[in-house]
Amino acid sequence: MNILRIIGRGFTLRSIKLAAYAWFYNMLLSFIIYFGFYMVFSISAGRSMIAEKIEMYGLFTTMLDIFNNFPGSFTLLVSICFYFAILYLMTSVFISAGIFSVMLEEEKATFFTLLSASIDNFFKFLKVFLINVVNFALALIPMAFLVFVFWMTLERTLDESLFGIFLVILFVIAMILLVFSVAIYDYSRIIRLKDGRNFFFSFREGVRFVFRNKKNILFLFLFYFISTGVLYIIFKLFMSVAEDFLGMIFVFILYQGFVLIRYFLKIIIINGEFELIRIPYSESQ
Amino acid sequence: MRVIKYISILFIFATLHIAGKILIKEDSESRDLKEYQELSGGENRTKYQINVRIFPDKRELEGVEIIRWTNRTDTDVNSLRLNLFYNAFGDPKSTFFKETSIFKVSGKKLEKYNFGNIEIKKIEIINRNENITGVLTYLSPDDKNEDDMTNVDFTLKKPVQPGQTIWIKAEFKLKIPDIFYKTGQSGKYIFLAHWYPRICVLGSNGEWAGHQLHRMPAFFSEFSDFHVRITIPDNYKVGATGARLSGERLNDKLRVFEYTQDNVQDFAWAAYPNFIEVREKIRLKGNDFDTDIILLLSHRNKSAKERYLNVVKFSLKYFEEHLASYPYRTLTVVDPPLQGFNSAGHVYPTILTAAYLKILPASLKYSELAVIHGISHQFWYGVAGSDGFEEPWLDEGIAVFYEMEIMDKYFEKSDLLFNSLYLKIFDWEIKRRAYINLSPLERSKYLSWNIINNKFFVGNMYSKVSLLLRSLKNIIGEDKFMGFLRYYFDKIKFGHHDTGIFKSEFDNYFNGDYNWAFDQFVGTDRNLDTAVYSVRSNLIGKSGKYKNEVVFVRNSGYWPVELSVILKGGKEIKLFWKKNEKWKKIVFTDVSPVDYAIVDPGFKILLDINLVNNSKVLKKENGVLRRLAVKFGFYFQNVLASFIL
Repeated sequence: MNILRIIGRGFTLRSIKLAAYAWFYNMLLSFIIYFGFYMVFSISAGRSMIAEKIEMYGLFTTMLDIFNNFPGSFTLLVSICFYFAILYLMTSVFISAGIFSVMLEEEKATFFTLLSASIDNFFKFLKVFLINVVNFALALIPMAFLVFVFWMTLERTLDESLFGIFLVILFVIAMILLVFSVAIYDYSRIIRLKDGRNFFFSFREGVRFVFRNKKNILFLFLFYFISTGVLYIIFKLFMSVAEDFLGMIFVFILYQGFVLIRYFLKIIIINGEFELIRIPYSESQ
Repeated sequence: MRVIKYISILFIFATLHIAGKILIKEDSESRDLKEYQELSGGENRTKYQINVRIFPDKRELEGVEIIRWTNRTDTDVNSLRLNLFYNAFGDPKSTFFKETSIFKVSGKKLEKYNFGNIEIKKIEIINRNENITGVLTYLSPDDKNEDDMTNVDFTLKKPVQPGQTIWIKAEFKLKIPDIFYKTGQSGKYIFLAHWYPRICVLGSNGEWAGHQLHRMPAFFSEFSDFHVRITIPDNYKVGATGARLSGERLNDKLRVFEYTQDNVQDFAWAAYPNFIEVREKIRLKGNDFDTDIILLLSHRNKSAKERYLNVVKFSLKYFEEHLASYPYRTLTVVDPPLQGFNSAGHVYPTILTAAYLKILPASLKYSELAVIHGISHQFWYGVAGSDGFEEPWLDEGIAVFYEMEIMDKYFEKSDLLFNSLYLKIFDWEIKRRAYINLSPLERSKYLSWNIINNKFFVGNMYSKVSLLLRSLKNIIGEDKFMGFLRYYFDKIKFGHHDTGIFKSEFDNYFNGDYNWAFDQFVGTDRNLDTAVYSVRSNLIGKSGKYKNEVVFVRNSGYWPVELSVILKGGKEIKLFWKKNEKWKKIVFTDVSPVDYAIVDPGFKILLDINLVNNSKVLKKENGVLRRLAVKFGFYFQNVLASFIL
């Protein structure tokens, strides 16, 4: 099947609605985290004007002095980041439970349909996520090994030409591993919903499917990386105006647009993954 | 007398001739004569004539060195003190390695290390026909380490009398270590520093000031003239202290490079077959010669050429305008290949090692920083000499001050040491970070070897002093302050200065107005913290007026400082708090209550360790904090959003 046609099929209003669902949660979490960060700074700075003088002192020095004089605030900030990261991951599992389910069942993409699908499938998806932690960890092992081999080689041969070559190799391998581990996670979730058997089964089948469809999956994700890369460059150009407060608001709004488009692109990829599994997976059963 | 002089000349001539023959087997008589003339002529400085051949495959170097040295004190000298710094790399029990172990180098790494050393095969005083090879004693005045062999004393049969000149001839052999720090060989890349037998500084009291080699960068040497000939395999490219006189091919396998430089404290050189040599000339004000900027780029760093050239030219121009014109004909920047990176970031007369890694983002200006720091040292260490072992603040602190000044000016548009989308950092901010976290805080006038760790050294000697100087510049005014440094530099150039001289000149120049500065922050372990302690405003009955009260405190140190009290409506009350007292209370009535109070409103005093307590608002309004939170939240959300779905 033509991969471009598959990608093209994803450009629908329905995909935008699904992306908006994910974006909504992102916004919600953003407000919570902004408040958490605000509390950290507010407690530490107290009645000091240091933040007002940030133009004079610089961001680095302002933060340095706050954290240096109130070391607890740094611990608090790190704790917020840590717990928030977990909350974010759980939310991600929750959202994907709704989106994947609605896409599979080809239901109408309304907020309440998605919400109820998220609630219904959350624990199934949580188990799939937990088993896929192994998948993510396994993807890191070859990377760590390669870095180790590189340093050992460099120390022994003292050949700096290896440095550039290694970085290219490392980047390519890292991208391939990333694609495969994400694809395995996606297919584990799809198969979990589609088949209804336990999460070990869906994980195993996910791995099998990904390695049977390596080429198509790599093409799908190549599209994703290129499009998000272009998006990021455009976004970065706009970020340079974020000096004053209005600029910050502008960039904040722009950023929300950026996140929305990124979700939209990911929905297109998931849609493509559904298309790919529809024929070979049903045939193989 | 004349006969004796001519006999001496002939003797030296013969010695050099034979030494040259032994080493490179192909010397011309005219060259030996030139060497002799070089050695005998010029001013009454110590002169080094060094003739070496290096064997990179064996990691060895053989050399013959002749030092012309004059006793310029009023007392007899009964022994000669030489530094054999290369022995620091020959034994894990050396002071250098012991201090290095502080820096968490694992024993395992040392086991793999190819050690180096220097062996004196023969040493004699040729104009007295006195062989002193066996009469040596290793001394460890700094740490009493009996295993350290970097500082050696040769007992003389008869003293060197005041005004008397001796010619010391030393035949030596180096075993070149791995580049672990500063010097050595890594693959085909070689950087040789601290490599030749070097005579120590004789104090005016007739006492030798000889130190061992330590882990921290420190140096103390006489201003001398160097003439060095290096015989090396033909495929090598070489860069060294001073100007290259020749680089002739000796035969199809060997090449001889000849370098000369007067009035410098050391001689270092680099060799690597894959160097790309780039030369550009610059004419600086007051010099009747061009200075050659020589880049020796690692062949994979061709793209760094413009970055290096631009920053070197900018720095030299900066010094020309603000201190003095660079006084030498060459300035060589060595860009080490990756395997030689441990030699990066060090400075020797007219040559410095930079650091460039393609992998690092262009937003990080570390390469420029290393070059600027190195060029600053060409002045503060290279020309204004000091005992870097005992008073490292004098070269490091002042060099870092100039580094910060140049970094700010050079990156005026892009601004910074680090400039990325998310964070911008100035050079001075990094220095301040090293200072405000100091524990324990020490005097900046502190021995370079008696330290806890690298952070302690950098924080106390580099950062604290450079921030002190920047703070003084800010309150005194740039023109006046730089004017002093210009005057002072001119006065002490090509000589050694010390804390006493610096302080007394500073106090004289400014009529003692700032004599508290160096006493406190260099001479003692004080830091500075001035704060707003409290801000109060109370409405007085029905008068419509407020009784305003602001208390300022000095938590640590003394620095005359501007204070500012801003009232609601924008009215500002300015004060200058000069009196040396712990606290100051200001009470006044006004129709407006206080909005906030601030210490040092123009942020001139970078030495203040706590900027949070420098201001206090009457009523908490945290609009800016909200912005800050949004900014941080935004970065964090950006990272996490990558994982969602």
